[in-house]
Formats: sequence, structure tokens, C-alpha cells
Amino acid sequence: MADTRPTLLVVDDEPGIIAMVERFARIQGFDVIAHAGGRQLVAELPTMNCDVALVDLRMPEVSGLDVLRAIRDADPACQVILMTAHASVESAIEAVKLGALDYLSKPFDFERLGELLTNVREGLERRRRLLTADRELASRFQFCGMVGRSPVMQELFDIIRRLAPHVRTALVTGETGTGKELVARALHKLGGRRDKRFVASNCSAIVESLFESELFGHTRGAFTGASEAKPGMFELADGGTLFLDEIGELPLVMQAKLLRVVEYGEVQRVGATDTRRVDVRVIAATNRDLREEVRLGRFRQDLYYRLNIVEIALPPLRDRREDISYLAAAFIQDFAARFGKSIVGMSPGAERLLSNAPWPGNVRELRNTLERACMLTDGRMLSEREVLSALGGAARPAVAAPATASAQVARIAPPPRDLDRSQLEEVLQRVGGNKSAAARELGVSRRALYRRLENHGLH
Amino acid sequence: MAADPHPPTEESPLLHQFKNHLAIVVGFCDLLLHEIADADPKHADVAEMRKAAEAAMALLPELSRRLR
Ligand SMILES: Nc1ncnc2c1ncn2[C@@H]1O[C@H](COP(=O)(O)OP(=O)(O)OP(=O)(O)O)[C@@H](O)[C@H]1O
Repeated sequence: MADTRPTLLVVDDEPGIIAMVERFARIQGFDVIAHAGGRQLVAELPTMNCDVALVDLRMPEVSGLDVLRAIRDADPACQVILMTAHASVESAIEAVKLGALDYLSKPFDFERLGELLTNVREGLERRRRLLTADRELASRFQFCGMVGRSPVMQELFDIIRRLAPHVRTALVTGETGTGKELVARALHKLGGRRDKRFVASNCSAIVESLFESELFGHTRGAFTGASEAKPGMFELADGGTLFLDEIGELPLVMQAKLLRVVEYGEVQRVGATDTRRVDVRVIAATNRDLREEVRLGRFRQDLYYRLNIVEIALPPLRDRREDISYLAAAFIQDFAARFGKSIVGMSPGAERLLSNAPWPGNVRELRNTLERACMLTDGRMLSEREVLSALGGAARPAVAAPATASAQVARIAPPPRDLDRSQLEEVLQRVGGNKSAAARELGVSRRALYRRLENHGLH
Repeated sequence: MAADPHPPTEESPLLHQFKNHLAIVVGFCDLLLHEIADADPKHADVAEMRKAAEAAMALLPELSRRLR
């Protein structure tokens, strides 16, 4: 939160009035911005962040009512008080209709102005207290870095809390971006292994021929290029947790080897004759239907049963829309701090947009959208327009990628030899972080995509 | 721009400015009266200034009629 002294903007083409208001407002505890009005003012409004504005009605170039309208547009949270040397009922009514807080005639009744400013200040303090209360409330809906207020998520938190100390293996399922890795981390943290390593590996990122040595390590000279002995991920995670994302991408041969390690707790480095004991908790994740993969013979049934002793299923975001506003609040707070901006929330219209979006990329997509919106904004409230344009990048092709002639051509044409970082980022953003969709769009295999991402340090 | 809510016949620009200046005099008097202790002799002086400015302001409607 920025400093707590509220800011008052005074707009008048008469310097004497400005000096007078400024003097009075400072006594009342306000910081004051003075402005002579005109088009220059309208241009500066969006970045001013005032809490209350005192605006002269009759000014050359831009009238007080127009300034009022401009403030309503630029910063709806700012209260406006109009002032005039000649009160008329009509203009007063018009001003109030346009959303002015009040209408003062000159010479000022300082008592009245004092009352108004006190009200504004108290309103601000109330809002600030509410915001703190909101945050406290929000923390009740936070669990190991996960935000969730919907009954399903609350139940899920509860299950994780109860299971974590006992889990040896677990399977986390859910669409891309639903938070599977966060669940794995929570299981790790609450399972008494917090001081030990959490090693995460994405199975679709590993080159097929290197799986075994990646997981189990290799001895020196085990194969061409193995110039040094190297421990595998199981050994690295000894005593802790190994998170295997996209387990459905694991080749069948490796599935058998993985099952043995999970069952006997022993790994054998490639090229070694002896085995080493490891104590590793294995948490696997997938966005595929593994049961179906088993039926199709692509995933080993015994491994599936071993993993799904504990299965934690994350529902897609569209099935728990109650979470959206809480997630959004948490993300906005993060990004505001990261970008050094004083963003406190969003307009009701913006909130409606978020609540109704389809979110094929789930929480990750929501997070990316808010990151862009926070980057765009200059105000304290994300506007509908800002959220809309931030959404624009992500929502489009995931739903509407018609197989047009050019898209077909793009798909069969050989992929560009080297995708640069910005291209990759652009495509990923467009598909809401969904790697399969991104790979499809780029006409490369998932695995190839992962390698490229890794090369660019994007994963 | 919005239509001027004050038809020019209601008050001439000259009078408008006049009133604005007087409003500033009254306003600063009020601020001073607030800061100066009642017992301070300056308090009464400022109060006199304020009274005069208010009286001038009260003459404005009449002035307006005669200017027409
Ligand atoms: N409940 C949540 N609260 C806060 N942040 C969340 C939540 N769920 C997901 N996220 C955020 O969304 C992003 C994606 O989460 P995560 O990587 O865990 O998803 P995933 O399901 O493992 O995705 P993928 O299947 O694509 O690997 C991360 O930035 C994560 O911090």
C-alpha cells in the first residue's frame, strides 16, 4: 500500500482559488495537486491517481462538467466536487447526475467543504480497512501457494493436508495450467520432506534415448558422450520428492523400469552392475486420461494402479468459477508489487469479463492475462478495456483455429529451422500456455517444442 | 464541449470575475480566522476585512442590474 495521505486535485483557472483550496486541504490532511485545467489536464488525468477532485465549473477550453466526465472515465474511484461562483439548480442537477459528489458555491462555505473532505477521507480509510480484511479473508483461501475458495478446492486442500504425511506415490490429474505442480509441491511440503529436495521433471521434455540415464543416472563411459558419471533424478531426489510431469509421455519400456524403482526403492545407473537404495516419493501428473491410455495399451496397467493409489483430480477453472475473483486478486497483488504499481483491483466490467471467459489454459492463462493487464495499466483499477485487450492475445485461437487453407499449409510445411524466442512466446501466449496446442500450431512434435523451449530457457 | 449551463444574460463575465476575487478574499479571511486565536487583536481585524468583502459581494446583484 502506498502512503496513506489522500490526494486532492484542485482545478481552477484562478490561481487565488487554487491557493486557497490548497491551503485548506493541507490542513485537512490531504496532499494537493493543483492544475489550471484545459486539455493538458484531460491528458494527465489517467496517471494522477487522485482520491478527490475539486473542479471549477466555468473554465475556458474545457468546462468543469467535461473535466468531471473525463475523471469518471479515467479514474472512477476519484470523487468529484464541483465549485462555482454562480450556483444554478440546473447545473447542480446535471453535475450530480454525472456522478459528482457535491456542488459548492463560491465563496466557499469552509465548514461544508470540511465535512465533505472528512467524508471522503473516512470513506478511503474504510475502503482500506475492507481491503485489508479482504486480504485476511483471502489468506484463509490460500493453501501452500494455491488460492481456492470453491468447495471443490477447499475439499482438495483438506485431502492434501490429510494425505500428505502418508503418501508414497500419487497421481495428480487435470488439464494444463490447473495447478498440478503446485499440488505436488504441497504434498512435498506437508509430507515432512520440506527440507529435502523437490525435483521436477517433465517427461515430454526428455529426449527418448536419454530417459533412462536422466532418471537413473549413468556411469562413466556407459555410452558415447558419457564422459562423467552422473546421478539420475531419483538419486538427486533421495529423501525427497520426484515430480514427474506428463507421465503419459513416458515410453512403455521406461514405464516398466519406473515401476520397479517405485516398488523396490532401488535404482541402477546405466552401465552399472550394482544398485543403489533410494527413498523417493514419486508424484506423477498428467493431463491425459490414463485409464483410456491403459485401455489402448499405451500405458502399463500395473504402473497406473501403483500411481493412482492416491489420485488427486484438479477440476478445470471453468468448473470452479467462484475461484476466479480470488485468484485474480492474488495475481493482481503480485504483479502490482512486481511492477511497482499501485493497482488495487479492477472495475466490475473487467471482473465480469474474467468470470465469463472460457479459460482453456486454466489458471495459467488467467495469470498470464492479468500479468499483461497489469503491465498495460497506468491506473489503480484495471479497466474493462485493459482486461479485454489482455484477454485478446490468449483467448482467440485456442477456441477458434479453423483449418483454413493457409493453416493446413503451415502444418505440412517443414517447420522453420530455428524458432526464435519471441515467436515461441507469442504462440504460447496465444494458446494460453497449452504446449500441445502450441506444438500443433508450430507444426513440431511436443518433444521438439520442449527442447526449443529449454534452449531458450523458457520452461 | 458541453453547453454552458449559465446563459450569459444571468451574469456578465465581468461580474463573474469580480465575484471570484471577492470569494478569494473571503476564503483567505476564513483560513486566517481559523488560525488566529480569538483573543488575538488581529482576529478582529481579519473579521472586519471579511465583513467588508461580504458586503461587497452582497452589492453584486444590484450592480448587475444597473450595468444592464
Ligand atoms: N490454485 C492456484 N492458485 C494460485 N496459482 C495457481 C493455482 N493453480 C495454478 N496456479 C498457477 O498457474 C500456473 C500453472 O500451474 P501449474 O504449473 O501447477 O499447472 P500444471 O497443471 O502443472 O500445468 P501443465 O499441465 O501445463 O504442466 C502457475 O503459475 C501456478 O502458480
